[in-house]
Amino acid sequence: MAEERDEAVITKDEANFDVEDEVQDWKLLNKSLTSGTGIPKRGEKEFEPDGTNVQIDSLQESRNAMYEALSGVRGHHLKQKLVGVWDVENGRCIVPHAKGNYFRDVGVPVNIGNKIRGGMSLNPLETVYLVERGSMVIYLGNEVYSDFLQSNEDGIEFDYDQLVALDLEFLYSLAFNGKEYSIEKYQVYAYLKRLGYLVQQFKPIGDKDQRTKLAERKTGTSLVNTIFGYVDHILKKNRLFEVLKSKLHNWGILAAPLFHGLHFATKHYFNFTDVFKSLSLIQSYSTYDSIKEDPQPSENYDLTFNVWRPTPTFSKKNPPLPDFQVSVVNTDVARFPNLETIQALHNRLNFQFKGEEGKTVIPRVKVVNKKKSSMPPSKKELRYQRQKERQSKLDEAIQKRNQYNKVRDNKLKYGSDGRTVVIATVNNGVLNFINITEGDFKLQKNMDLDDIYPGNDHGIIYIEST
Amino acid sequence: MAKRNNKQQLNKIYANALPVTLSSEKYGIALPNLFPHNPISWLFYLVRLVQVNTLYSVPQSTVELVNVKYEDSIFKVTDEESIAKLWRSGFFGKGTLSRSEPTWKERTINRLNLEENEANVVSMEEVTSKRRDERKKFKTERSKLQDLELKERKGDISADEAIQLENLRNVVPNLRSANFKPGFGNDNKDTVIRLEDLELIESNILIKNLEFLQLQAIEVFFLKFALNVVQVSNLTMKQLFYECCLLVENSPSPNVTNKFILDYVVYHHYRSLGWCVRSGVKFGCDQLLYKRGPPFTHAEYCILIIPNDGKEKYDWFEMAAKARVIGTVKKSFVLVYVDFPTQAKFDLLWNSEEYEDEGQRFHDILHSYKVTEVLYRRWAPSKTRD
Repeated sequence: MAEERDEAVITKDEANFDVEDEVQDWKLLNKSLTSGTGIPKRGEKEFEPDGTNVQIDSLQESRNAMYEALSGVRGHHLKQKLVGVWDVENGRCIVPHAKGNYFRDVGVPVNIGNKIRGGMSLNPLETVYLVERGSMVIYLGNEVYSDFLQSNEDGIEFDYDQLVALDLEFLYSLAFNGKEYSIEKYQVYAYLKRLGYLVQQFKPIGDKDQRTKLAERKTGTSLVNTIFGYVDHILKKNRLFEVLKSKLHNWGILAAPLFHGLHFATKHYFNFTDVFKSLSLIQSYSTYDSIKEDPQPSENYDLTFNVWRPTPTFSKKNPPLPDFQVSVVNTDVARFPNLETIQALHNRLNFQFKGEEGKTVIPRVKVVNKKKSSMPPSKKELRYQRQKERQSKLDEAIQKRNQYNKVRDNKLKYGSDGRTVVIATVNNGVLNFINITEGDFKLQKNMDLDDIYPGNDHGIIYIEST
Repeated sequence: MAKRNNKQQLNKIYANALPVTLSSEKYGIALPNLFPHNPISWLFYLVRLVQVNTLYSVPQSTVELVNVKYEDSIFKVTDEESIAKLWRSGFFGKGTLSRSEPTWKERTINRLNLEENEANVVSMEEVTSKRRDERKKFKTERSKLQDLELKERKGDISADEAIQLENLRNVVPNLRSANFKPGFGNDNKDTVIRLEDLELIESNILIKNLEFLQLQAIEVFFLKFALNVVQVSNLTMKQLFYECCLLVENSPSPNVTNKFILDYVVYHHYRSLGWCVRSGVKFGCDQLLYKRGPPFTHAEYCILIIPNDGKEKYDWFEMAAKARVIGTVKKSFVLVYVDFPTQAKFDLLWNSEEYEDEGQRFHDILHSYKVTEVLYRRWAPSKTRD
């Protein structure tokens, strides 16, 4: 342990490793296109030219692979052709016949006249996304089309070729208005969609906001607490007690009060935990405090998206609580938010308090990939296994203590029941995502920790030596 | 097993979390356990409490205050015993000629092979330099290996070089995992005595200690206000506080948002929760939090202090830069916003003449500040999908 720990070691560790930092290897892409085995792995970076034919050949091979990949014919079956019409008036896209697998999270169902049954109305972000990935053809709506929609004649198919087909450039200029639907929001939307997330525009889920819910949670203070509070109040305010106390101090019978110059010289302490308790002085924010204050966000910040991990049971009509809630900002316009804005965002989140009953909750069961792998277990897995074995052999009291420390560390690091907002910062197309979480190092009244060791001052990190 | 012994040794050296002597440590006494539902235990406790208070004097009442000199805007502790006490009980200060723990004397005795050098201890600095040497060796061998591999690819490798390449392929991976273990003494290196060393030695004994312990302003004020274990030159607590404020901002009386005060509020907050708090300048932040202290574990949290004045102090680039540095050394980034009282309220408390004890004044002043913690973590969406 005494060996020096160089803290400035830069390691390519699991936690910070991001596949996006690697270069695309086109060779692997082609292989996967032909054999169809999912997303290809990225290749190693090549460094400076070393003058060997080996390197030149492998570069050329990569280039050819790229050309080949790009020259592949892209298209869709005529039967699956998805058509959308841009509704200029409302700035949305109408999809008369929604087909394909895209509408699990995309679009709002619409019916228009007797022509459109089971159609979809898409917002500009959704529209551009589907068109850009080549999944939908879009036409510019006009009077002929709206007349068709309003007409009552049955059985007539509309010939879309009489409308102007929109190219991407045209669509971009129609879709993005800079404010509600900005290009930054689109970039974040498209990125998350491409990764497979389910994304919708932010909206409150459930009929109650956090404030109402928190107020309902609060039960009245117990009678005992009220009495204690009252006695405490009298003792503190009464002049007579004050005089008596200071006299007792002077005679050396009672210890000097906390933070009095003589306090430590007049009071016996038997452990450091008590010393730390006596030093408690600075007021600190406790989880959920800001809900009572109703802070307001600055104009640059608002919640933009609800984001879910892909789940087969997702229901657009009755969505579960989002896994992530994202606020998109442009770094040219917005600086890092002040505390009030952060708290305002936290307060506006879709959030469920602990123990709150709700029909929207689907317990997240972590599905561990149990695929039989031919690979030997990784070092990480081995270490985990060994640690688990070692743990189970330990004394029960020690296991409990280790469990406590683990729970507490997680609460410090990821927030104690706290709320998290993701802020997606966009700088001319480059994205960065940041979790902003409510912290609470004092861990006052923490139920999870109370379950393990009731009534501890959980925030005091010092472990008494025995 | 060496590791465990080492840990036990560390626990022994750093047994005290703060430079306060406990009654249990000094007299080996303890109060009996108190069981709320058992009145006999109450009685027993009370009797013992009275006993302790009458029979034993409180240890801190007889301990001498540590002398801190305030010179040239620097807080110095020069007495060796005091230095050891402040470093070992809570890791206060920094040795001016060392990385953190003052080890200059030890290292010099070791370097000059003087008589006191019986324990033959190896200091942290020596461990580091040894390890860096080994790392350098690994890197040169690796680059040799890479050169030879390139030659092999080009096809103009000689037979000799091919053998060398094979050798290196075996050797290099081992070099990488090689790790210098401390514990054994200097390997009989020749002692080089420089001219200036002569001033330090007299009949093979070191007679001077050029190093002193330098304390941060927040550390000094904590030792004075919270624990009352130091005397700083001949400054009163209020004078000391004002001097500390002057170090950052020149004003006739302290501003509520003076950087020293904000720093101190946060420092006190974490110290009172049992964290070991040290400067975070090496990582571009204000403070670092250690669970026990530098010899035990790495710091886990980096603290950035921001006054909660409604302003947006940093842009996203500045924050990203800090977060990246902190992330690469595997620490967590904590923003601490500090609420402060109005200047009028501060001045009222600052100038009040009602306090018979200065500690009470600063209790009231500091109690009107409040901290709010916000955690900053990068999200990599590509990794959290499943």
